[in-house]
Amino acid sequence: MHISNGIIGGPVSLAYGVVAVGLLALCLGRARQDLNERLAPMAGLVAAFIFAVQMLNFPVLPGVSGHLLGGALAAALVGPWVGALCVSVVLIVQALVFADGGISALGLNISNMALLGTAVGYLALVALLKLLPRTAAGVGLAVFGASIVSVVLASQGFVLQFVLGGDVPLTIGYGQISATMAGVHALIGVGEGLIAAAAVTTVAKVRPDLVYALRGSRLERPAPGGVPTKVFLLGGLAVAAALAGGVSYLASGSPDGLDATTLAGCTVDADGVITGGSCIAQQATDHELGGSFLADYGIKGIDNATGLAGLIGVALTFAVGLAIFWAARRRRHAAAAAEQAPAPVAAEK
Amino acid sequence: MGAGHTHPMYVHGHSSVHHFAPEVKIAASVLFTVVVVATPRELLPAFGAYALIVAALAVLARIPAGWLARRSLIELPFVATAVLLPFFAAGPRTDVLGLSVAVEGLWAGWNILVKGTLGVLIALLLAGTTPARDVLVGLDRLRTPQAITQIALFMLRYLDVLADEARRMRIARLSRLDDPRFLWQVRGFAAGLGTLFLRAFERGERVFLAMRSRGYTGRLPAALHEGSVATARQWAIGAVVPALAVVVLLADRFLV
Amino acid sequence: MTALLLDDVRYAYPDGHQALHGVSLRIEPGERVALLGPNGAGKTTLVLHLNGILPASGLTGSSGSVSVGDRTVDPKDRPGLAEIRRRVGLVFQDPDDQLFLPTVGEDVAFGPANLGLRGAELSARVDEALAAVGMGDVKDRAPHHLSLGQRRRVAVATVLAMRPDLLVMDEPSSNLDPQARRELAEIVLGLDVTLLMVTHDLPYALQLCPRSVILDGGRIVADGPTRELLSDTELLARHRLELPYGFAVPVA
Repeated sequence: MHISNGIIGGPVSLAYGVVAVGLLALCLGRARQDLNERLAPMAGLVAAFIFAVQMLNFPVLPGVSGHLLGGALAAALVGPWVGALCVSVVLIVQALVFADGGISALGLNISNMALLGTAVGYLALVALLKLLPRTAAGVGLAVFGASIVSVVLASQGFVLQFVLGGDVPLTIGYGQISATMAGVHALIGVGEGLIAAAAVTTVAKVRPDLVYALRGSRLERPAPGGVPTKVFLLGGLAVAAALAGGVSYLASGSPDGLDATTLAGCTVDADGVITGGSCIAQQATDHELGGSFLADYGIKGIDNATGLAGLIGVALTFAVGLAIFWAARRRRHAAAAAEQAPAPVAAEK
Repeated sequence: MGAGHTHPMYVHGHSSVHHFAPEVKIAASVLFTVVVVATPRELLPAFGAYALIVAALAVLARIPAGWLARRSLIELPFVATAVLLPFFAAGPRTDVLGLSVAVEGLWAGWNILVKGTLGVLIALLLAGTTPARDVLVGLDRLRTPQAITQIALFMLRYLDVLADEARRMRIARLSRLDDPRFLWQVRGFAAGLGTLFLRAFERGERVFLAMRSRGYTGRLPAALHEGSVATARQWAIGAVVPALAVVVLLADRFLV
Repeated sequence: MTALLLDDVRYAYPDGHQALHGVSLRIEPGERVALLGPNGAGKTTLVLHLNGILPASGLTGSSGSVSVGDRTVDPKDRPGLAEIRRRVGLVFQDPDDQLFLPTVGEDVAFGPANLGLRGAELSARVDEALAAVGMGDVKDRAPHHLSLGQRRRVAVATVLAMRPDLLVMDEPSSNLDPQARRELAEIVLGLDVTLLMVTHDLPYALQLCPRSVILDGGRIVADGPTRELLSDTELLARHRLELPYGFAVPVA
């Protein structure tokens, strides 16, 4: 479900294509430094891993299943350069061999999913790792937060592409689109983040040297009497939700044209890795739909409520956070404790 | 497994389209898609002509219409977008079947629908007539950096292996009563992903060691890339498709 | 009560390939039975029927019934299926498919935790299972860093921790060095459990299982004392089974 042909106009697609090729060349060079002559087999296996990850469905609710986008996961495990390169190869093969994602939109999709998603995820991860302790819980939390930031900010990239090349004047302000996109993607980010966090901590415990973001430093045992895992988890959720919600709220406050959110996307670009904004294309489309629905509600209901859609997004995000909290508590008491395991695990999530 | 890796999108066949040099097919597909996307949405006859070209190619390649229809469902989310756009676009409105829709939105929806559909059909024709390996050979001959085609080569080779591992791990989890139905119960799944990465990475290391012990120094031997390179005649024939599209576009633009 | 009862089990894969052509088998509690057969005989397919992984519910082309103790496998009955999966412990051929958590202890705890155990009860169960396979001292190690023989023993522990009524092992001896192979045999002989062992390691079958069943082409073609079946060279040759070079069935 990558962006298909015709959604974004030709000149913008072309421009993104040129930018993508340039940045891909940069990634290729840096990836070669990371892996040298091992590049082809190693990156090939990592790309196969990402492809496989995108094919595996996991349950979200009974009857609803999702799959990972894998950008933040790849960035945490193999670093931004190899990660972006591998996701790009996956996208190229999907477009040419599996007819998934428009050929003319390949540049858009690559800058979205491969470049922006991975770069933002990695920057957020590095920042969070500086703040959090190097325990399994700390690393898991950092990956969790980075996934949310990556997915949410990247979704704004799609909005930017739409502003630049969507050539449809909408009754909905771009601010509202971006707000609803941020809200919906915060939800997706929570799911993506939970799974990526558990996956990375699993690797970190067994082979810390394979987690690029840790650079081989071993995990510390949680300090006795330190902050309990659950507090960590809840704190992280609250921060992430507030961040995602806050961004969308800010955005919805400035209803027209380029707004806070899209500008935030551009700032990231200025941070050095990406010069064009972009978004997680894989799911952007449904969420564009979701966005339309919510935005419609805002318009028809209350004329003035430019922030309503954003607020709904925030509320949904918190609802999910609460649900997870509730489930965590219930799990402690209920007999059907699915994941409770002896001591080392307690620190995991 | 092994050489001649096929994939679910490939329709086995021996038509002239199947036997065409992959680099020509890729180039023609990309150019054709670009022309379609660059066509102004108001030029309705042009899109009709494009559809005819696609249909003619499908007949030539003996790709069943049902297969094309089923596979193009991948585009469904975009169809939904296209259907919704008329209701959200600004500007003058008109009535269709008693619903008030924006004229501009109708055009935008049509634009996405027609270009998206044509694009998917072109990509399906390419994927349906070209085995994955040949696509990579074609990309290689089109001067794609070798690193990219090599990574893709390894990826396709081991994708099935990894998917198989993931499937066996899932069965082993189910056998021990793992039955996740909510997002917060997927720790087993997520830990499995971590393990899958470990195994993929270490397999990569072993593959590399096995390659190096056979003299690999970072480049695949050029001999592997030789073979029937596209002839000038094939290029000329292949160029007909996008050229036809350009002719249609120009004719429509300036004559109609 | 019968430990395992298969009645005319037929199964076709979604692509139409018929893997099982009516398999009937009865195993009494406490028996140790070897399931012999060449590659592609349908052994793994049969094993996946024993705990209801196959047939997937709603799949056509499958018939027959599988009962474990007093329960019949019904793919649509989720709680029933959970009980079946507790009773039937599958040990897969590749221990890496089974072991996916960062430490041995966590992995052994996975099954019983899914049964609802926790706290002291859970860790007691883990210790008991690891002790049963002589791996109590690797509880905090990563499965990743163990030898194949050790991993296979841990894989047995992950299943024993669920206290199964029927232990099913798929090719337990494959790729093991002679010492690990012998150690595993000693462990299996020491377990008080009904055993179905899938293998084409015929001496191993002889050592561990008084009774053997030969599956070929999706049908059971022989069922009897292991010693008798292995002495029938013509029967073995017909079903592409071979004793190792120089091996003769010892006279009892």
